[in-house]
Amino acid sequence: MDAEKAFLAVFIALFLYFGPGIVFSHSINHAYPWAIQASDAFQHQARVESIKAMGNYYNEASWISAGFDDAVGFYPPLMYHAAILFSNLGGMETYDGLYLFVFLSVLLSILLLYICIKRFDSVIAILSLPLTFLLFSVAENHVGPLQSFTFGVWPAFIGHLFLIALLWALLNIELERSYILLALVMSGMALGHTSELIIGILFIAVYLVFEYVIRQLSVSKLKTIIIAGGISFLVSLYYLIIFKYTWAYVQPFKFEVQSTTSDPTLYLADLSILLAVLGIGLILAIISFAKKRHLVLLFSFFALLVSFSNYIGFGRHAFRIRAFWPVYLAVFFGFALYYGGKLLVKEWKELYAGAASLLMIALILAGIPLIPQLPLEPAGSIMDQYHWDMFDWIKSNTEKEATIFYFYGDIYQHNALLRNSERRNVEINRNEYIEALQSGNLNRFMNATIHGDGGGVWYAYRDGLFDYGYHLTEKGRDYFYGQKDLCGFEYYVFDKGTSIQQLQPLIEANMAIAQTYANAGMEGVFQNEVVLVLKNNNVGGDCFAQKA
Amino acid sequence: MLGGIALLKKLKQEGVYLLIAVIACIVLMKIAFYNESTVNVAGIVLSFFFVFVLPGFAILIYWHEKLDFLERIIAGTVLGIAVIGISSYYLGILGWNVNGQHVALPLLVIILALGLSWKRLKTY
Repeated sequence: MDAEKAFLAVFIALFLYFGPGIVFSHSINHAYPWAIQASDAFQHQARVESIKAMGNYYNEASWISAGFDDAVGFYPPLMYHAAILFSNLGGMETYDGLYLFVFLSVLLSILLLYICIKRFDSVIAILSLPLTFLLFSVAENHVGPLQSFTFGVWPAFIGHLFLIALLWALLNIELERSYILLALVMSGMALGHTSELIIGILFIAVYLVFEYVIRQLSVSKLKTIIIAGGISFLVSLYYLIIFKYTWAYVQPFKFEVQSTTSDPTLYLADLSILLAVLGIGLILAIISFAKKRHLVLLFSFFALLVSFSNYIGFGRHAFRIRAFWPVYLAVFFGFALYYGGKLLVKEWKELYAGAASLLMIALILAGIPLIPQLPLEPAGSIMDQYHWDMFDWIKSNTEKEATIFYFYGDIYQHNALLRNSERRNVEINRNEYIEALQSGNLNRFMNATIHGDGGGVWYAYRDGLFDYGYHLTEKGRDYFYGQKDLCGFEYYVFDKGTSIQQLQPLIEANMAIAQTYANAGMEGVFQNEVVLVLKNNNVGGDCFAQKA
Repeated sequence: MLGGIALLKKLKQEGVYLLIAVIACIVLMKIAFYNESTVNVAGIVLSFFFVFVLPGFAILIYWHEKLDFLERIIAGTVLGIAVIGISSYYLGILGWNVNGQHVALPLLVIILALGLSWKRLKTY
């Protein structure tokens, strides 16, 4: 085995061990969704399971769409479908299979970028890799790159994968029939994470200008790009129509300068001393680019510029590129190490580069000061076995059309996890619940939320290929968030405990209401140490006959 | 005839490389996920290879003279993800239940890719 392959094997082992290995507590299969720390991640976890349950992604499942069974499947579908096939064959639950698929896609992004940098310089390629470990770092005052995994920014990772694949395809544009490669990559972007397609098209434009400037632009390259664009347009057309009437309609691009974000990201200040290293690497790369105009360097300059496009209106997409800086800017790190090492090594060899790279990885893992830190401890999970058992019971034992009503529970604020009931879910309005308890004015009619994935695309549904309606606007806000009859649902869920001491009165209120409901004739159908489910056999009857 | 022998030799050699890659991946994954049984890890790695790596590798075999093995296996896997993910989505909508695709679809992609490359491979 040569030095390069040996180094790559060690790199992959370390990456898997300190990345997904630690996040997953060194297990692949878990009893319930593991290492998920935000509603967004539950959104993907529940959706992939729903597609598996339905057999296709023509429509969203009704339990994802507030009970509507005609809401169009609007999310970029590639990740979910790929993960279902992988999970099914690998004998994994979809929540484990999808999460592992995301991590492996990130590893593939890094290895593919490595292949591209290698075209420029094999030593710099090896020296670039240590920076990628900062994908598992956390930030002090905001959510950092590691949370891109645990908070569920997963489709963006798929977008990054195909953006790097675009670079690879353009590096191979002179191959015979290279339009096939380019078309596959562009289609991957369109159906993987469509916002990266826009960034990809921008990069193709930059590439064409670059080729023109260095007098390398040929008719055959133009032809390849046009044919590839045409094929990928046809392949993606069906989904792009959905995209136009959902995402692009509900969330059109608006010019908005944004200097901070609540999304996982990196700011320059987070890089601390690495900022100087990367700055030196950038300068060296610019000098090198002046002599050897390589597309890999242009790509990294481009990614760096796009990551600051939040100042010209690209908002959260720019911040997501920043969360991936440890990959996009890796080549600058490689440059800095390469030229820094020249002070010690007369002539770099792959063996030395591998050793230096592993030393840098060891320093990053050791948590030396003044660089972003890796927590190196298992990520906990919002979900727990008790709630998971409850969701499992509900989906296996309740009527498909039943609605489940949730009183206060710590974890329900991450409301996408409710979709694991595979039923329509309604949750009491927390603030109103607290106010009602404080004023002793709890009554039968209170505000409650019908949960679902409606904020993004308003529960869009199809009347024809180019004719869409929107349940959210048609039904009106009140339907989803307004007053509900607390006696009007089939099942009620009461949490019996809280991890927040100050919220104990809410749990006491839960129990008092459960008792009132039981007195009114509701029957306990499921319970464990932390949660109780009651069945209402008299929907719409007076369940508050005896005041709680 | 000579071309056929050379091709056979190359395919055999790359088959060995693929086998080494599978074993290496099982070992690396087992190190990272040491709490998981070796059988499970092996099954998951083999599934990843079957669903994404092999279809992608088959797609890139058309360019086997221009791209080395490492590049074909890495870039091919990315292309495999694209082809499998996209075709699974559309085939699901057309009525082929996603739960019936995990063996047949990758196999179909592999056969199609090899079939389309056959003319090129014959002249190697």
